[in-house]
Amino acid sequence: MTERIAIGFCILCILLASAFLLAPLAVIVATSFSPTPVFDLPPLFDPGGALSLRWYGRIGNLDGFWPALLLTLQVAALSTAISLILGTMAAIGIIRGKLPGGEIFGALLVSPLMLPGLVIGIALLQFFRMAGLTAAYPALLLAHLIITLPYVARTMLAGLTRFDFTLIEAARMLGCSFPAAIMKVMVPALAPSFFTASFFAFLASFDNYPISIFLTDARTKTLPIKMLQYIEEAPDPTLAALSSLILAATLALLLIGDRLVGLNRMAGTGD
Amino acid sequence: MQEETARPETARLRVRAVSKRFGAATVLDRVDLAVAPGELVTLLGPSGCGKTTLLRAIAGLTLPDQGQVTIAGRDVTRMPPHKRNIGVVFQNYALFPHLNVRDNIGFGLHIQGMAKAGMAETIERYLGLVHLAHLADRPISALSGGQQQRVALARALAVQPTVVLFDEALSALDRKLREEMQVELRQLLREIGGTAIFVTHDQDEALTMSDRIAVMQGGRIEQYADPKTIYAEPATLFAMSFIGLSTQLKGRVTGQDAQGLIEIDTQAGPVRARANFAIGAKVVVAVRPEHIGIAPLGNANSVSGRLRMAVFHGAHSMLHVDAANGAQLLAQLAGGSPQPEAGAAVTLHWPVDKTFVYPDPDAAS
Amino acid sequence: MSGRLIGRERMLGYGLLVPAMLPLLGLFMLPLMFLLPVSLTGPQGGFGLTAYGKLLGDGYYLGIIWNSLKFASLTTVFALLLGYPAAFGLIYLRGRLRSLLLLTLFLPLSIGVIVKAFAWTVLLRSTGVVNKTLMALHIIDEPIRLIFTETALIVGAVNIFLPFMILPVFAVVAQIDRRLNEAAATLGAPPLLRFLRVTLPLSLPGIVAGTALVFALAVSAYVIPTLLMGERYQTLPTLIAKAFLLTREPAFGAAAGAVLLAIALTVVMLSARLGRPKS
Repeated sequence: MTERIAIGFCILCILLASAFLLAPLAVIVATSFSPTPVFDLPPLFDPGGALSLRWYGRIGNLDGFWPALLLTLQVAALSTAISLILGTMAAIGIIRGKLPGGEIFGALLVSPLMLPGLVIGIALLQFFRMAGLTAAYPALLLAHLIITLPYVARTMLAGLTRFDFTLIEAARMLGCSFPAAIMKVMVPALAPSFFTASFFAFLASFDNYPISIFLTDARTKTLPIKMLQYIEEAPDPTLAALSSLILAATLALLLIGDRLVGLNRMAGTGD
Repeated sequence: MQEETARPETARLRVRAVSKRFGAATVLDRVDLAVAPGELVTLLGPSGCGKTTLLRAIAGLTLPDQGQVTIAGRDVTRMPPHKRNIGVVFQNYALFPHLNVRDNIGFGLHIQGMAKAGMAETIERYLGLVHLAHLADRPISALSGGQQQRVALARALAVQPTVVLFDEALSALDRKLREEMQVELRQLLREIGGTAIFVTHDQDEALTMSDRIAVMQGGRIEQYADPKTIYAEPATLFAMSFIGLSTQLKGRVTGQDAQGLIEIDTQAGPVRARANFAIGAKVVVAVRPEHIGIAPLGNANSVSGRLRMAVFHGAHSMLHVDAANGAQLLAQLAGGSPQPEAGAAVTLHWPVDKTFVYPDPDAAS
Repeated sequence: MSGRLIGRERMLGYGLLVPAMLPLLGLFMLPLMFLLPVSLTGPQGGFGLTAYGKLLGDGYYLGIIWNSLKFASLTTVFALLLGYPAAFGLIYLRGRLRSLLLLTLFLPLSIGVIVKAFAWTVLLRSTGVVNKTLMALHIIDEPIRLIFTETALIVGAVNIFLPFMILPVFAVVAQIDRRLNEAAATLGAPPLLRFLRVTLPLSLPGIVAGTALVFALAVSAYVIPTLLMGERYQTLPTLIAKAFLLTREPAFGAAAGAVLLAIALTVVMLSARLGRPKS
């Protein structure tokens, strides 16, 4: 009986948590269809207030939107790809080499995730100035390596502890060359981890504000920085429309992830 | 011998008409079982026969749909597991990874609220009983499989349960260690006078460990008897097939002779047996290999065939003989006795009294 | 022979680590270390502890540090109170419903803090949904002030960081063998004792990971306090940003950065120590 009540309470908590998490997203999506140019919920029962799609049409007209989007996607994709390679190599080194102090290296790789982005951003700004690196694009790309690497390292460390390295030797016995063995055995087995790592790393880079803000210049601005600027200038529903599109794209990615990997596994349960 | 079934009032554990369904599947079908105090009983059967579900129903980890479970005369059918005072040794041991050996063994005592001094003493006693005193402060992860098994055993016994249940508890150990543990465990349980139920799919374990074996299939107990009876007089074709080796010949009852023996026309030829079957019934004739020989016998069945191969096993050899209509027979020969060559024509003989007859399960009734 | 083999595998292991450690060293540890000399610069240049003296000797600035710690602690506590049982709720649910709820944990991660914080201002403003609902239910007669209050700040912060509490706890609890609970039951432990003696200690690594992550993220949060509390409410991150971007006091900003970094590092190291399995 006590057990039933406890289980019921826990399920209630996750339902409440879920509703709570969705609340701001619901506001954003609803606002994106608002007929009025104010960032607010559309009137629900107003017969005259028809829902409108016009804010979606205006996204492209936002000042400097396309270059910002392109830059953000580029930086996120490139930094994720590089981190994926570096992070996977490091995770293999730690786990396959059974390195003494492997835990410390692991913690070190993940640590930027838990340290204040603002401080990292300022430190990088000063450091790049000292080093004479003034171009915004390479500075952003380098900084985003530090943003994406912890997510990759964390996921790949977890994924590799479950990988049986003797499979590679078995493949080589069967006549595969070493690179072929890696490609045919290891890469497919780790595909779920690659997907999960890329998803979180890409999102972290795509969303980053506190580090990027210190490394952009007048012409090179990422989307999150532009968005804060839009909010400060004119908070109209265009921003909500843009966010709704991002939400839809993420939802699509997650549904693909559920098919390929399973959300359970993406959440790190290992089954 | 614990031949006679324990009467309800003397039974330590009694299961009456317990049934359990999972969706459309009937996992337990009106199962009855009685276990006397101090008795070691094995539930033996293939995976999916319901043995683990029966064990879980006794432990209170699964609620039966129907029926009754009594422990020491107390109806516990609806009682939660923590009030039943039973001990369970789980298949993967289920040791608490956050506690060391000592605290694992002391877990139940701690829950009972035993005083510190008494508890330390009890833990020491059980540590000694399973020969682990030198590992008391080790974490569980530092133990071998056999050592973990002992911790699980000591933990289950320390609370002095009315009945100890073993769920495939030895199956994870390698063969040699398993055989050692079987003997040791049996001795230990005898010493403390424990009542135990083992669940296993391993016939050797069942024959070694138990006073009585319940052979289970399809959610029912097919035979419940001591190991010798189970082996020598299997009540069903399944019990015959699951435990030990046997030759099986399909046939049909053709008549009855003056001595009351029935005559069966099998694929390998005519055979006589002492059994009650109607003329025309489809049956399976089964014989243990150690009862079949190549020396002629009086009042025996005999079948002619050709020796396919002879496999040497040290103490004995096993002859694989092909007879008429694709029938295959197994005969066991003593190690030193002369053996025919492969391909030679042989005639096999076995006593009529060792010929078992069961209804043919494939015959559509 | 085998010793040499292990040695070679180890060398290869360290070799594979290098490419990742280089950016970590050059783009993370080194730049952070260079912040230290900046914070130790006096007002006229040269060495000086003025910045730290100002930060740690002034009641006003100590209050700001206290503000940051309080905000992060409260956020963490509420996230734990809701997130810990919620993670168990996920465990008890199976199949489609669990996937759906996991989806709602991942989805908010794609929306930037800025837009989400703005959505909260829509919900909490005097003409917002929360006030309207409360008035419709006659719980209140006139709109209460929600926005720019500490309550609103905590609500917004918990909303943003909650997935970082639920996911680590869920990942750990999902790995706990159910038979341990059954074993405890057969040893005589009733449900509450089973939770206290078995499930709770085994879920501790998840609690530690989630708590450390949420605290570290909350104490470093810049956008949330700025948007939900406005300019008057200061925390360490807003102080740092102001020092670098507005008042141009790099030494003071760097000193505040060093303090924030020290807090975050303490949390990281504590969690690494507490979260390690005992074996």
